Amino acid sequence: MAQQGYATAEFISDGTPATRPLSLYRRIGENTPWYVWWLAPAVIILAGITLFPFFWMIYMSFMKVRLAPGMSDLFVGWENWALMFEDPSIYQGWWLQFQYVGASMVLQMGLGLGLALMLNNTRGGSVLVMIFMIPMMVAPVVVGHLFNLLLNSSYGLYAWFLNTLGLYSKGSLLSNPDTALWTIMAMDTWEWTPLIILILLAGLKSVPQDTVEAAHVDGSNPFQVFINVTLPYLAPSLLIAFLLRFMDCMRFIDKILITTRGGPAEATKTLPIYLYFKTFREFNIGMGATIGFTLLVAIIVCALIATNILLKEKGGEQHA
Amino acid sequence: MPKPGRILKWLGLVAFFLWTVTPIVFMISASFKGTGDIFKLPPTGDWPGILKLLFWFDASLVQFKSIFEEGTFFSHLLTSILATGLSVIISVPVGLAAAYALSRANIPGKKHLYFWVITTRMAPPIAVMIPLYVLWRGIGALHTLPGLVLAYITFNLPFAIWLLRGFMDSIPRELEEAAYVDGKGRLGAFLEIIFPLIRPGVGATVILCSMFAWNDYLFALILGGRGAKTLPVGIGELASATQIHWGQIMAGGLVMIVPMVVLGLAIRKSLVTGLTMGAMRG
Repeated sequence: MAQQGYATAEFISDGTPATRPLSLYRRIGENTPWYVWWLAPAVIILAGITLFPFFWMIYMSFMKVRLAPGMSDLFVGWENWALMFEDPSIYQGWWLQFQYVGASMVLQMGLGLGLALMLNNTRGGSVLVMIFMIPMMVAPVVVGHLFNLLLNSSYGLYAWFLNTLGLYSKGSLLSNPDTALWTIMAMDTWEWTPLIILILLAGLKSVPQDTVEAAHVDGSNPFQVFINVTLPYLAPSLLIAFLLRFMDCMRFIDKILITTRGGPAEATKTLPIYLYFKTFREFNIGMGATIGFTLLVAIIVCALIATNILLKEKGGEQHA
Repeated sequence: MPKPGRILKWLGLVAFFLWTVTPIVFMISASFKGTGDIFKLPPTGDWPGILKLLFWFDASLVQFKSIFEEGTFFSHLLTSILATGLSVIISVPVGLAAAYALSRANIPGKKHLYFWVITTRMAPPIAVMIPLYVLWRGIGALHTLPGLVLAYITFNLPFAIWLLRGFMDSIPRELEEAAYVDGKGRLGAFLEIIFPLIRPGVGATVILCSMFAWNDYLFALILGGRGAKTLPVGIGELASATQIHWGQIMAGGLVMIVPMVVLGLAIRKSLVTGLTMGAMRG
């Protein structure tokens, strides 16, 4: 404010006749940096639909939210928070979420790295890559239903495969508490390993071929070449692939909601799924806001770390 | 590369090819079968029977006919198109302006602004939805198309800003400065110099934003509800506790994924940049 007032005074003393005071509109117009007008629509929209709801969520975590007409919210203090910390399902939900995200990441990164190395410099590789990309574009709802059908114990193709190969014949993998979470991980792996392959293939292009060949001539075995030559060049891409998949894996629950809905016997009730049922099935919205807030904060912390690493990585590339 | 390594490599590629393609082939063949045929499996161990099931069957358009004859499919399709289209039409131009400012101006606190934008994009939908649900209900936007469009803007606008800014940063400032010398204003320089140069980037942004909105399930399920039912929700409802219309689900799913696969493959060069939010530009 003070700065603007000063600028206005300077502008007037700069030759504009002091006898004719500027209209408020012009004064604001002249003194506002140009970028404000360009940014304003985005900032106003985003503030309205993200920042305001965020603070509203914090407010609701201290309330008993009553949606019935004519009822107003009741202030309950820290009650929701206390209940959340006492609820064993919350800890179970975080633990399942940790298992789901952790194992998915190991699976997808390992598979993605292996395939990127196989595809690199392979004749016909680009056609294969195009085919491999297709699962990423399939809507999660369709992925969920498709695997539901494939695994169906009486007419699913994959159930038939498992049965014929003698691997598994106890109904659908999705309806067994011991295998359900792993099956959903496999579905996510089917859908998203291609993204890791694409990122790593782009990264492999930065590995200088003559260095690789020189290492081969020196008698290094392929494993040594990979560790000593390829890996250092590939490290930034590995990091990006990991961070992006990690963030998405934490966020999305569509496939679980379509296939198991947290079951069987709560075996797939990860924290976001628990949150869904608490909020939109039990309509305990105050509690939902409390859990949602903790989930959001956990993800914001991850995002803070991820963006800092990514921006540093990107800045480094630009200077190089 | 030594010979055993080569064989191993191709074995790996073929295995992953089968792993990727089998569900899709299964889905396509199931969509073109009569309802009774979908449930027919060969006896255990009959591998040629499986090939026949996937590639050699009595083709029928009965599933497509039944979804198209049911009026709700078109209303879901229309809602999907409108929600996707409107969210993109708002997000991309607003995002372009913001991206240009972020790319060219020295804004105090720019780092924090970036961070806000990117966390908005990375927020888990289920947590974002809780306050939106209560607020939308309060202003009567729950279960309406505008409410759903606004919800899609929560993820498409930050994404558009982030991605377009990256494309803009790659254009040298000297080009605009030449335009200023010619006496053009900022808007003139933007429209005549910058926009034509980043048009491919804008195209990729439009397609990616469309994909995110088109494939969304959770927002449409909770905020769209009965009043604004999109295709994913409609397809989701074909499986109820009492009956699952597998044929219709497979056919409807196919109708839903074909446009996205075509668009995605069309921009496959920008797809990596887009899906990694520009972190992979190199």
